[in-house]
Amino acid sequence: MVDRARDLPISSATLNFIENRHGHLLLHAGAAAAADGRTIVVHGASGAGKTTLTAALVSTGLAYITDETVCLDPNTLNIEPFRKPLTVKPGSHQLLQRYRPSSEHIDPKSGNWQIPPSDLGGPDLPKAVPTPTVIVFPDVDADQQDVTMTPVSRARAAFLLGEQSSALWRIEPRPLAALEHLVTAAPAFVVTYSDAFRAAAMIRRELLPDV
Amino acid sequence: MSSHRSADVDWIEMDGEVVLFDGEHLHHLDQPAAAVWMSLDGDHDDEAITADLARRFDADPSAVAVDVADLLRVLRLRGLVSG
Repeated sequence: MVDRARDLPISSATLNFIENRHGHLLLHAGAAAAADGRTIVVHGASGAGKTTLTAALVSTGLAYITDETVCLDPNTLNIEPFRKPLTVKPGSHQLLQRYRPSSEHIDPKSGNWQIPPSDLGGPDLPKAVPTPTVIVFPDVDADQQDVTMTPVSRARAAFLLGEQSSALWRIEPRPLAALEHLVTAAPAFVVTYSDAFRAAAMIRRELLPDV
Repeated sequence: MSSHRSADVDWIEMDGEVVLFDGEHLHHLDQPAAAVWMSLDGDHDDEAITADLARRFDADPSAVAVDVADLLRVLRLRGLVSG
């Protein structure tokens, strides 16, 4: 009946980026954009599958925007790309084996890979300013044979996006207005899948046609 | 008893659901809970809200009363509602 947001997980890897962008909508999300600027935002908590699905979307021909923080102007919804190296945790290594980096890009403690964006093989950033077209909440389910896409209500999407955002309270004049603007402009779906590359292909085909 | 929304909670309604922001946390209310929230104007007591909700959702008033009481208890605990 009523959900309350969890404490915000703020990644230390993005603190420098975030610290200079207060007043922006800072989503804990990955993103990939078409040449015309239409952008798929992949939103979720740490470990939800953002990086893997973002990499898979890039493999379909979209440009890499970020794998961790989507920085949005709350008025225009323009996205400022944050093309940090993709952080791939051990649980995703098998699926992303094709991107395995050289040893200097593997953290000996965590085992995490740091994949340079240029190694993804996607196109350069689009000339058009990226703006959100679709929001995807990844739901990885090893038993899921097919890829399913379930619409999410605007209010639910605003809640889920906001609960994982950074410094929401700094958005003037109303953080909720910024979230409403976003979820009205970009419909949201829970995408359930076991194979991120199949999911990316379907997302691209169904939610970003004519690219 | 008459409950009302806390003044320092911002909220927005979208398609019959509500999102609240208390300055630190977000909260999501589904449609039945949102209907209660939007009735919390201080002019309607809890019994009137329950009766209205039971009528609108064609539900058993005694069951609705339990749900409304539970919801208001949670909202009060979180400082979103007073009274």
